[in-house]
Amino acid sequence: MASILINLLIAAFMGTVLIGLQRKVMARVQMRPGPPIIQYVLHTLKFYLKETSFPKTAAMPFYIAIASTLCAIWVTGIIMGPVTQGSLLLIFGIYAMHKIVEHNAGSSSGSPYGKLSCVRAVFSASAELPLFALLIVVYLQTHTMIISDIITYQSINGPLIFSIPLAGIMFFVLLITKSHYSLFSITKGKDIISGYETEHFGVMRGYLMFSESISWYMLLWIYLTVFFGPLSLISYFMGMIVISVIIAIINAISPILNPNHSVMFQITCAFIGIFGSIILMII
Amino acid sequence: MDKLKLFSYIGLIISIIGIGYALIFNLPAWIVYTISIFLIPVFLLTIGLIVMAKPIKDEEEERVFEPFIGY
Amino acid sequence: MTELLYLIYILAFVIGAIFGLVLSYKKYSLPFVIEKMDNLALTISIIAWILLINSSLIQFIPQEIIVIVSLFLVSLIIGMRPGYGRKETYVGIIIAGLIYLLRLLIGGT
Repeated sequence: MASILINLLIAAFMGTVLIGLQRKVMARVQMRPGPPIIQYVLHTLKFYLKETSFPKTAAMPFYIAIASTLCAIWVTGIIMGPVTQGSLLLIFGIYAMHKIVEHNAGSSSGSPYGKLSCVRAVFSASAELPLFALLIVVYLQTHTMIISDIITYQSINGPLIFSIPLAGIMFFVLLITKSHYSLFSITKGKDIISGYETEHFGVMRGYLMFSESISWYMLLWIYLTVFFGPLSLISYFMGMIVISVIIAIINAISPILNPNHSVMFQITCAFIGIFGSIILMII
Repeated sequence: MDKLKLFSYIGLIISIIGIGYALIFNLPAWIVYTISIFLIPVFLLTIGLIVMAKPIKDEEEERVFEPFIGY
Repeated sequence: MTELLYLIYILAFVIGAIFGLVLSYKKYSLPFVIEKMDNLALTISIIAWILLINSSLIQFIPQEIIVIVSLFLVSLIIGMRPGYGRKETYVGIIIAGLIYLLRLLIGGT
């Protein structure tokens, strides 16, 4: 239990600092000072202490339960990942649940912006295609779905990024999808205010932000573990910082794509990734 | 004390007892995972609902109990 | 145990950044306009980065304590009011890096 709590706190704090670092790098690319690196930490705390009230048009108790679900699935992610190094398939299940939470947080609110975002979240489930395809490719290469066995495989045969590079690129596109202010962030585009989070304000918003920072850390952790083999904790932190900076630079110089284009881009990447990897494996 | 505060306090006490129990005693793995998956979110939620800011008494009526304006 | 140590490192960074932000808002009343280096921040930055990168030079204090203190000081400067503390950080990194390279060349490995 202590291990779960410590890993949860590491994930929460490291995730918030990385998201803040992303915003800082994006601002610097756009030649402005940007917010302090710990801005996301301060925002999460600030929202946590603000008053929330429950709108009459919200679907209760679903409205509260969905925010708790997001936290619960990412606690499960922490257990599946750094603590027990369990099955990658369960991690895929957690991402599917995350998509469901995005959808239901929007539909449980009474706000039309929330409902629009709910629809877009279903639309952008195409982002889960690269993840699913990735699991197939990793399985075909390593013949296992258990993270600890994948680490053992990599300590013998070298990092997977060199043996299945297209899958690595595909997962990188997925990382961009899940990042803040990305070109695929149609569920949180400013044209729909805050998307599915619009009617979750105050404590609920702080709660959602806390869970999202854990999800960002976990996504980077999975990428580094599955593709770069056995790493020490310091290498994890360095790798996470480097990936966050690269993603921030990409996000800073690209506009948010229109929902149709966003979905088509992700499906194309999944297509190239899976069929390219299988062809490379056969050759 | 209104309903929200009451349920928050009950939830907080249950989650603290559960998490403390899992921390102190050596339990089978699946019990520890179940406790952490269910009670850690409840803990975070109830702490938030208890420490959140409170409205000024006069404004409470119009800020918290909003009129339904329909969409 | 290692994980607890890394949690303490991250907390030292976050707390240092919060202190840096609060102190720098008290010190600088204007948003960043003039590109002048602050001597106190420069000193702290150089000490912090030297301690962080060359922590193995000091033997009488445990490594972990040195890294915790240096992370706190590093984030004190990085977390300053946006715009301030940049140049001090770069100078600190360069000087600490030069000392590290010197150690590599002189020490051998």
